[in-house]
Amino acid sequence: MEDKRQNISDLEKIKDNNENGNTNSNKSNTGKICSIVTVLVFVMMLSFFTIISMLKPDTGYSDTENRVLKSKPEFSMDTLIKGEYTSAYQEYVRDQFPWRKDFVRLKNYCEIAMGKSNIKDVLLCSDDYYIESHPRSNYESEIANINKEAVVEFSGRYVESLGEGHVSVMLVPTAQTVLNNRFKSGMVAYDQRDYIDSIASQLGQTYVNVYDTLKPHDLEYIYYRTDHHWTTYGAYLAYLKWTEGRDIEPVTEDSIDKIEVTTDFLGTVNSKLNIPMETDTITQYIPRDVSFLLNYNMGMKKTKSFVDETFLDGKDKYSYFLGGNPGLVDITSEFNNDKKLLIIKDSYANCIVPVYAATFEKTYVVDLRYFNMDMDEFIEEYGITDILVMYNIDSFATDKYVKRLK
Amino acid sequence: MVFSDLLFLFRFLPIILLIYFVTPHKFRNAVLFFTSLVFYGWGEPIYVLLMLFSTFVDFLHGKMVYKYKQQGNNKKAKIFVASSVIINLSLLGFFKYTDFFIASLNNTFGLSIGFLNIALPIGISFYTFQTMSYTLDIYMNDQVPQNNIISFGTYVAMFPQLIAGPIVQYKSVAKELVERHENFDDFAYGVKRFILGFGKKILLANNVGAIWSSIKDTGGQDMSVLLAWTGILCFSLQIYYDFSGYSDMAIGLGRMFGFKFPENFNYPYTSKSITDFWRRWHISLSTWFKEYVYIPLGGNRKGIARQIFNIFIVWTLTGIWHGANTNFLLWGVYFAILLIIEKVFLLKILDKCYEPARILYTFFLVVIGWVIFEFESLSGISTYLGYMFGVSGCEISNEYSWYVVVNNMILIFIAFLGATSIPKRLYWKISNVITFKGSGYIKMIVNNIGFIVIFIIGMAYLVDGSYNPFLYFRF
Repeated sequence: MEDKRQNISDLEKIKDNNENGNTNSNKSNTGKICSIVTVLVFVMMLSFFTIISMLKPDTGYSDTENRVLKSKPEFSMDTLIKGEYTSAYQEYVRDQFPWRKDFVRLKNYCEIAMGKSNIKDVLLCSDDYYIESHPRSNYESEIANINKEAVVEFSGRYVESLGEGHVSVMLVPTAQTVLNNRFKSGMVAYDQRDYIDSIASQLGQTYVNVYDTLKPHDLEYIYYRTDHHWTTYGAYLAYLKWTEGRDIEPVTEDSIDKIEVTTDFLGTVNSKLNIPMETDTITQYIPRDVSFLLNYNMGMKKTKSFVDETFLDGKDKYSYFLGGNPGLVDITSEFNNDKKLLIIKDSYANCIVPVYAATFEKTYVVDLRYFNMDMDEFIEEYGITDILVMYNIDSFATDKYVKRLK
Repeated sequence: MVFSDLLFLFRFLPIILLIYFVTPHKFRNAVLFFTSLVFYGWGEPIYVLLMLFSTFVDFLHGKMVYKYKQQGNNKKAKIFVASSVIINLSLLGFFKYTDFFIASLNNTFGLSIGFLNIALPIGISFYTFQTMSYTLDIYMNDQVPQNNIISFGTYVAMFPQLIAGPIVQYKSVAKELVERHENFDDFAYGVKRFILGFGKKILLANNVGAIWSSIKDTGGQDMSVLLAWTGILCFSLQIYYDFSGYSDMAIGLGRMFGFKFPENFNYPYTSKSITDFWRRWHISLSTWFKEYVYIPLGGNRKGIARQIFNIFIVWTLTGIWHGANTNFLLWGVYFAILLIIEKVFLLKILDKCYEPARILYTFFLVVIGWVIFEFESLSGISTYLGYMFGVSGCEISNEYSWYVVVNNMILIFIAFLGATSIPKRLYWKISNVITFKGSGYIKMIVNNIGFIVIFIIGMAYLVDGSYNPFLYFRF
């Protein structure tokens, strides 16, 4: 019982302290005025943001975040009872909150002010590099394991039918592994080679070791500073590596036109943090004196062009290449050599496709996320002679569609 | 709905405040009651009926207990108290502990009874404890029952304390339910308290929580002693700031509406013994158990053996109150044992010790307790303790652990400092030194700017959709 009394007197002390704050200044009329001001400030803040947030017209697509923001959910008794309506409404209010971009930026400034150099899995590196860094768990997940098995099995199967030197797997490490020379002191990131090597050891000849190719160039511009992609130059270095030991005459640098497409590219990493950054430059590589015919998504668009210029006006400038991620692009070159290449890829391949296509009669570029046909059937039907699987290792380890290769 | 959400701040709260203060005093309880139902129903559209049921049952029971007590028929009064307690505990038992009970049966007897997979109604442990305190107060402490069911409903459902406490005993708000005087001073105090709690939750708890959540996911390869300690310290800070932040917000909101809720935390991490810790941590819960279980069981009045038994019972219940899982039971028993040891001899020795050593001793044991609290399985607990004490052969420290520490140093330091009374004492010291003419207004401006800054930055974290967990879904 004694314990309790002490407890209560403790509490009273806190209360006293709290109330002291009021009474101390209460001697004049100040206390009352202070209270009124605090109440007014609070009420004004609440009403201000409430009213603006209710009146502000909804934004559909967020340019900076590159996604469609949540819209007002439809009300129904069913969704209400399941609790779906209410949670959708909560997300809607958050997504449509006024000055969304500015709030996100403010939050990230606060993190920087707290001395953090890793914000939302983005490492703030030297030389204006912002490098996305994913933890080990991404690469040790079930999906990562399934995808590993799928690609090993797939490549083994087609080495048998198409022959060695006709199947290759290129798993590109991202900047978190290659550009660790740009890290500030003490920074660490998961070394993706742990995962890549565990796949490579089972792939044998078909594996294209991009890390060893890119690492010596780590002081050059091989990855964007504000985007998760590699630059066209980085992709070209990997291309040269790919041609080694294969029956292919590489397209040399002096037979390529390099066109600087834009110098104010701010990529996905920039969107994530929404703080001011140095812009990136996008360069396009076009093999000189070769002309192509491209057929996007089975006749949806037929053109001679590998790019869609409309994307240069928006935020998502990397989608300039191939106009995003079409499910299937069927490319016909002017050579008649009966060589037909299938590239199964993510967006890392988009910038360098023209160079690969330059030495094949037909090139088929497939994105498994947006193309449903079974790959075995496809290879059979189109008489594919060469296969290249090209992913950045991060999207490879987390992609839900890679398992379709099995 | 939770307080740390944009929907609450910029839809629900302003609308409630508006309706509440334009309504005449007579109907304000009704406003609070019905808006609270919306608040609760937003997250639990079905279980709101359960809460209404509980409210109704206890309202009737309270009346019956009082009636028979007035008539001097203690026996009948007792029956109704028992019935109320049984109904409340059955609700709690059914919704919270059935699957745990089935699992235990299955384990012990090798059975395979199917689980019911009942979703736990949010806040059920809080409101059933509140409604029980009502009939118990009428019986034990001569409390007069509430005649108006809306007013009683307001007490049970009141949204500020509904989902995460503090557990408000009926007697402490009985007067305010009938007559309260909302005023600027109380409202202003409520605003400050709410914003401080909001800051604790959003800026401190969530951020140290994010560190813990990533460390918890770290596999054995990257683990080290340093990282394991950093992790569990972050969790210790997270649960303190999260819980006390919620309590602050609840107390603040209550004060805006004219209610004075009891304090729930008193710098628990500066406790000088485990006994002291439980007087400073979740005070409203320990008070509840003390008044309605410990003392009726005889407390410390029936000899040391009985007292030890009572402590054991109370802390086993405290443990299991936190969730239907073996680890919570263990966690309760762990503290029961520590408290008994202290009671029997350790407190006398501690009393003679150097104060910082006592604080360190207490904090260390509490942190070990959090490991038991946080990992559901025995293997999880022992693996993590293995990391912390380097038994599992992991390194003392490595590159990664230093990176995590350096990257979050400032945050962790601020969080530690804020868990002591140092910032507050410093504030008052400075505030009391500055006393020239008109200094009151300058302090006012500085204070208000401080609160605005906390609020706006907190909003920024909410808009960003940063890590924002609700920790009490199992309570």
